[in-house]
Order: sequence, then structure tokens, then C-alpha cells
Amino acid sequence: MFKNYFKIAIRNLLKYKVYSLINILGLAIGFGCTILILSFIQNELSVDAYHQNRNQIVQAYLKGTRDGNTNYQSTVSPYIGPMLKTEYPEVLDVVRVYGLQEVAFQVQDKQILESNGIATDPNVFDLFTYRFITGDPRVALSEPHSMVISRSMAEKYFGSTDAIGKMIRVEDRYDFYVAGVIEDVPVNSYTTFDYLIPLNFLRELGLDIEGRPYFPCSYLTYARIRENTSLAQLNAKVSERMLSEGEEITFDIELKPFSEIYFFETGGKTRLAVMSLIALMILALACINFINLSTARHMVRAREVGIRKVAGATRRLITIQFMGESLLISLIAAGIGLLMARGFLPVFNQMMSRPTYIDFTNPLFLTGLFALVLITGILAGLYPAVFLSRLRPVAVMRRENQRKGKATLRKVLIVFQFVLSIAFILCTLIIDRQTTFLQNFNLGVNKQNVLYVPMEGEIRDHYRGVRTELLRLSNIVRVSTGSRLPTAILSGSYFEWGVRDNVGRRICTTFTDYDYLKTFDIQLAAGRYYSPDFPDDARNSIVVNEAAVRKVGLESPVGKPFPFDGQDYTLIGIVKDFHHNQMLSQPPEPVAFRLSPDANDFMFIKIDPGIADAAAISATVQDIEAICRQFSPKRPLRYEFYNDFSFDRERLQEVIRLMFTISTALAIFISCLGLFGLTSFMNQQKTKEVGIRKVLGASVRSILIVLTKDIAKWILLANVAAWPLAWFAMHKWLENFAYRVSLTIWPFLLSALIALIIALLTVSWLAIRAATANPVESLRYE
Amino acid sequence: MIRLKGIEKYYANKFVKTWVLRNIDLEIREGEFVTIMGPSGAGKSTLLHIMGMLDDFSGGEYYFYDSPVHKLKERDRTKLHQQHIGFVFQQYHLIDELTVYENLETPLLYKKVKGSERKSLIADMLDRFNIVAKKDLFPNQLSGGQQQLVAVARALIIHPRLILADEPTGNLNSEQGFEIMELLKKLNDEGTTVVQVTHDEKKAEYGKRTIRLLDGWIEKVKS
Repeated sequence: MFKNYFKIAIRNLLKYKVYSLINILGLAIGFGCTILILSFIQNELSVDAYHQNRNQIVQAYLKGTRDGNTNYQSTVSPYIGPMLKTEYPEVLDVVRVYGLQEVAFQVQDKQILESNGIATDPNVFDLFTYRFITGDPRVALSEPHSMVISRSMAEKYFGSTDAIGKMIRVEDRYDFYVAGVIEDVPVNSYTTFDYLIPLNFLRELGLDIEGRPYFPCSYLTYARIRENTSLAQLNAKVSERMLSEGEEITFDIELKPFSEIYFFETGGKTRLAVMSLIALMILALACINFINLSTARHMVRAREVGIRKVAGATRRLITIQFMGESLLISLIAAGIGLLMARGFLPVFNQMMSRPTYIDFTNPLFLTGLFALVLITGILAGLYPAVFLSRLRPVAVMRRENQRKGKATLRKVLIVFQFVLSIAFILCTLIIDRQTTFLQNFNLGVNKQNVLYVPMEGEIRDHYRGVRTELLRLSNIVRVSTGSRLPTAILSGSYFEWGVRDNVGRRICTTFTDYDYLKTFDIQLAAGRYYSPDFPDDARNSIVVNEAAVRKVGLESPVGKPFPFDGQDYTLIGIVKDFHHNQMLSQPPEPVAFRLSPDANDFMFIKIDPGIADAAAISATVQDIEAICRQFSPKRPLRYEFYNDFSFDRERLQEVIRLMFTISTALAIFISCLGLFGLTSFMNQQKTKEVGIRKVLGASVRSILIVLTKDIAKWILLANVAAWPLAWFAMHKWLENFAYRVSLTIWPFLLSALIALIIALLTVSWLAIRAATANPVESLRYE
Repeated sequence: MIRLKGIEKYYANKFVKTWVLRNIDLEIREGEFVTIMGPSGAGKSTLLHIMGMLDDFSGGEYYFYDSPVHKLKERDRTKLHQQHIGFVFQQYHLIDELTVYENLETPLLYKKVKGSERKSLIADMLDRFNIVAKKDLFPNQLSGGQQQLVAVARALIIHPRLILADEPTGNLNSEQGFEIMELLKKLNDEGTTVVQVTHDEKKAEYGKRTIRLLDGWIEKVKS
């Protein structure tokens, strides 16, 4: 029996190619999206899941409360870890992790910059699960100069994982020996690294690894707690303890479960929810096509149903047959969708900047996919199957009632498809406007032609010489240093400043040299900036921004005393507010500019803004590289153009825009496929009507109007429903931005127009064909 | 075999009842060959469809053997129909997407006949109707007469006790038409009950009894 069903299903698919193509293509796109997103979700959920102790591990967060807003910082003082372990019996073990800067490794003649290392407590392998290839995890980090490296690193330097005892020279100053080789940290990890060294070693660099309760806050701190410990109670105890420190009343420590860290840090859950919703919508659009085309085609299949009933088929068997067919189509579509997903995986990965794998062996993925195919097949097939099985055989075969179907359901579904498509178009238009708005937003900082270079090694040691040489180049107008890019002054601290009132207020601090403002064309609101002409500047002068002055409510403060973290300074200048913080989620906060004339973390090189030619710029960059090579022959220069620099959130913004653009295109495409299919069937039905009208003397134009006016009506109706939907979603989304475009009527009108034009284009070809057909032909068969 | 008592059928359309059949009393015994005649719109086909349980009726009682069809659920009706009745249409009504072989197979599948038995039943039928060579062709590759042969073969394959033929020769030329009639006669001689609807007096003569319908009423019964 199933062979019979299968054969007829396949033959029908082949016979009605347009119909099959529309159904399968639409569903395949839906499945492709869903598979990608399902895999993405599964990958996200698997992040860090391989650690055996994961449910017992917590991470300490620095929690700051300001103006009713709570901020979390993942790095805390090195003091916190040991404190937790000694003072709380629930805490079994703690590990601190310090992210290392980029350093030069040397093994014999190989010299490579390694950017991905951590310094950590020796018991790191008790908490976290990393597989050792060689070496003993218990003692691997017990000596200050021991090092554990990854498999790839071992193979890179030593050609094999057999590297125990081999030496690695770091920064041409320290000699480490390899005490262990581990398998590469899995890609589905939130924190990855290539090598580990003991935290103790940091003492040799002069770092304070004991610290005070709130200083220096640059250590990730993990703890393993006893099973069944109430985290809420532990947190309450820790809070009490921290508040009793009295040093910073606005700060606190909060322990968060390790298993929640990834989503907490990446804000990923909302993203996953939105992505799933989008995929489901696209799949729903494809299912609607399926339902619509199947019911529209019932005339074709109805005769078969009649014959089958005469041959003894029960309703149940007819239902099974048609459900089976829809499952088959669903299955074929899933197969094609899987291929599509695999094909687009590299593009998708690049877009999401996280590696996603389609894991066929994962039972969760397979069951999910199988369930999806089943549900889609059943949902899409249910209505047509029940509809067809209910037909009375005689009525069908006598061709009764065939023209009567008002097809209300079909119209409702088509309108629904366009509601979704229009909502998609609208969201994309508004997201695009907001993104463009943010990109063109006047930050108050000129990024044009500025190169930034992290200062390391010899460059840092010989900065003055480098600067003098660079300024000799005719194309270079300014060389300056600072601890931060002007748009990346983020980390603030709480202490007393501006006025003596014993209140800690948050202020962000950056260190700069004399030319910092000029390099970025940042304006002064009052006074002057640091200058080598005033030797006192280095000792007791300070510059803040307008927001800082406003915060403490000072009136014309330039030249007056300005207390800052317990010391007295003179305020010499006020910098105009510019957008120093990540993205534009918040207005500018108080910022203090401190003078550090020479060595800072970054060197900024401003090339003549008059040079726009890419070749001239790259020639200048080569000159810069040549000069730096003179000073630092072994270490290649790392640099980036400020214009190319973007924060994760800005990139995310781009991803959102791209995702919506693609989804909109797919949604429109699928809806149009459906509209096309349905119109072609409707026009077939209307062939006779058109023929009669033409015999009666109707013009092609008047027939076109007859054939397309319904569509126009539907689209307008869909707009009415889509507008509030999109308005609400976008209104919510825009609330995330402190600076945002206002929602005007234009995107709404534009999306209506786009939808109308696309829909009319879709049906016009069919309509023209129907309207210009020879009426005698169409009437002959009646 | 069939007993109809006061069968009525009408279509209700808002305020107007359109009568198709009125107060039909009719009994058909096993082994009969009955012809139903009458002008267009007299209700012949509807009566046949009701007998074949393909259509509902608005009133009256219908006993098939001893089963009260008017009281049965759809599923049980289908079962009765599946067991005992073969139906032949004027328009053949073969499934276009299935080959001759597969068309013959369909009723057997619904009757849940086993694979090997199915094969031999179909092979018998193909032999008997001399269409072995055509078994892999699709309906549109056959002439009208051949299609009707297949349709009759499909009706016969479940060995029905009753064959209902609705103008089986209406779309055929006279030679093909008489071939089909001879076939029905032969089946009747072998014991199968046949009820046919026709316009054609000559073909009506194959029947042993003729029932004439006019505007939904039985006009007279000629024995």
C-alpha cells in the first residue's frame, strides 16, 4: 500500500513541477534556516559544558550599583579568591585567572607573538577539565617558570607533543620550561587559551597578586563550592563581609553559577530567542504555502480521491495517504535544507563570528530535526488531508461544487504571510536607519587617518626616538600616546573627586600625553590642555570633561582647586563631552584626563587628513613600519586604523542588520512563491471568466485590473495588521539606545509600497498571460 | 440482495427543494441483470450511486443483504462496498498517475490482500481481458475502449457479487460497446448480479428486467 502511495506521490511531484518546486523550495529554505539556528543554539548551549565540575563552579563578579543601575564586571581583585577559600567552608577550591598581554615566544630560531595566554593558580586543573597529553596536572604549574601548552602550540614549536622539559624564551628575558601538554581548548569554550603559566610568576613582573579587596580588579576568579550549597545564602554572607570592608560602599561581590556565565556575558539568550522566532516565522511562511497550494489544487486530486473511495478506501486511509505525501515533501525539503545549511555554514559562521557545527551524531539535534520534519509535515498536511478525505466521491466525480470554494482560509493565510513579510520589511528598514544613524553619529572624535599601535618592547622603551623619527615623515602630522582610544574610555572607579564631600562618584580615567586632543580633533570647552610649557602640569594639574563638571555642579571651575582621589589638583581645562563609552547606549559620563607624557599603552599616529588615496596611505604605513623595525627588529609592528576598529556591540549591530535583511529577503521570497503558485491556480479557474469577458469585448487592461485588484486589497489589509506589530517590536528594540532615530511614518509607507510592488510584480506576469490568451482556446474545453 | 423502501433524495437549496428521487421501492435479487433507463435528469445515476453507497439519500430504507445501510456508519458502509460491489463509470475514472497494473492493484490494497495473492489476481485479470501487454502503460496511453476494459477489470478484481455500471458504453464506439456488454452478460451468467444504467434500448435488452425512471419516480416495471 505504501509503495502505491509513494509512487503516486512521486509521480504527482514530477507532474506538477511548479507546484512541487514552490513547496519544496520554500520548505527547504525554512528548514535550512531552522537547521542553522538549531545548530547554533546547540553550539551555544554546549559552551563550557565539557567541564565535569561545571555545576559546582561559580564565578565571582564585581557588582556596582549606580543611580539604580547594577553593573557587573567579570574581573575582581586577586584578594577575593583566597578570601573566599579561607573564610567560607562551603568554598572548596578557588582559581584566579589573569589574561596575559601579547608576548614574544622564542624557541631556537622560531620567534612568534603569542596573544592567547593566561596566568593562573596551579590547581586550575582540579576545577576545570582539560585533557593532559603529557605531564602531571597536579604539579604542572607548581614552579614559577613552568608552563603548560596546548597541543597545537607544542606541534608548532617542537614538531610533536613530546615537549616535556623543553625550554621557551619569553620576551627575550624569561626562560620557561614545558611541564605539560594539553589537548587544545575546545572551540565551544567561552575562554580559550594556548598556554598557561603560574600566577606566582606575575610577582616577577612587579604585579600585586595579593591585592586589596577592590584593587586591582583584573582577575577572573572561580570557586568550586560544596554540592547543595545555597548560592543565595553564600552571596548574602559574602556581601555582608565585603560591605564591612568599608572601603567602597558602592561595590559588592556576587557569585554567579558558571553554567550561566556564557549567556550572561554575551546576552545570548535574547539573541537565541529572536533567532529562533525568525526561523520559525520563515518555516511558518513555507508551511502556509504548502497548505494553500494543496487546498488550491484539491480539484486536481479530488477525482483521485473519488476513485479511491469507490475502490474501497476509507476516510482514514485517504487522510493517511495525503499526510504521508506531505511528510514526504517535508522530508525531501529537510534533506535539501540540510544541504543548504551546510553550504551556507561558512557564511553564517563568519556572520555570527562563532564557529557553528552541524552535528549529525548529536541525539538532541537529530531528534529536534526529526520532530521538526514531523510537525511541519503534519501541520502542513493536516488541513488538505482532512479536507480531501471528506469529499464525497460522487460529488467530486460529477464535477459538482468545484468552483464554489470561496477559499477564505487561503486568503486569510496569504494575508498573514504578507503581514509577516511587511513586518520584516519594516523592522529591517528601521534597524537599517538606526544602524546608519549610529555609524554617522558625530562622536566628537575624528577617527580619520589615525593609526593606533600597542606599545610594547623596544618601541615602548625608545618611544621618544620613535616619535622623533616618525614626525620626520612629511605625511605624518602628529604622534601621540594614551592609555585608551578616545571611544574606549570605559572602566570607571568610585572615589571622591571634584568636591570634598566624602562621596564616592564614578569617573573614568585615561592617561594621555600633550597631543592627545589634537590628534583626534577633540574640542576644549574651557581652559587649556596639558602643555610642556607648564612644567607644573605633570604634578598638580588635571583636566576633566563637561559631564564631570556637571556631575559635581561646579561653576566656572577652571583655575580652581579640584580634589581627586585624596589629592589636590588645579583644574586647568574642561574637555567638551564626546562619546567615550562603548556605543551610544549611554550619554557621556564623567571622564578625567591625566598626564603621562611618555610611555602609554597605545601610540596614535595621525597621517595628514588631506591624504585620501589608499596607495599613498599604505606607502606611509610602510614608512612607519620601516622606522619601527629600526628600533625593534625582531618584533613585527602591530597596528590598526582607528576607523576599522569596532566594538563587539557595534559588530553585533551589523550582524542584526544583516540577519534581518537576509530574513526579510527570504520571507518575501517565500511569500511571493506562494502568491505566484496560488495566483496561477486562480487564473486557471478564471480562464473561462476571462474568455467570456474578452468575447464580450473587454480590453486587456480591464482584465488585468480584474485579476490584480484582489491582491492589492490583501496587501493593504496586511499592512494594517503589520504596522502595529512592527511598531511595537521596534519601539522596544530602540529603547536599548540612548541615541536613536524617531519612528516616523515614512518607513511604514515605504514598506507598504515595497510589498505592493513586489506582490504586483509577482502576479502581473501571470495576469498578463491570462489576459492576452486567446479566448477561443480557453472556452473550447468547457 | 438489495431492498429499497421509499428511498428519497433531494437537494435543499435555501427555500427550494429539488427532488431527484421520490419514493423508490425496488428489490433486486441475487443473479439478476437489471437495466435502469430514463431520460436525462431522471435520477438514474443517483439511484445507482445510492445502491453503490457512494451517495447519501434523504429518506427511506436500504437493506443490502440484511444490513440496514441507512443506519450504518461511513466506515461500515465502505467495508460493505469494498467487499461486494464493483463500480464502472461512463468516464472510466482511472487514476492518471498510476499504470494499468497499479490501477488494478488499488482495490486489493484497500482490501488488504496479501502481496502474492495480489499478483496472481492481477495476472488473472490481465489475462482474462487480454491486456497483459498494456500493464505498464498509463491510462492516457490507452484508447477509450481499452481504458473501459481496465475499469471493468478493476471493478471485477475483488470478485464482487454486484456490479453497478453507469453507462459503461457511453463513451465507446459501438463495437467496443458491445464487447463490454458481452462481458457483463458473461459475468451475469456466471452468477454476478449486474445493474446498469443506459440510454440505449439495444443495450438495455441485455438486462432481464428494465426499470424506467421519470423525474425521480419509477414509471413501470417490465418483467
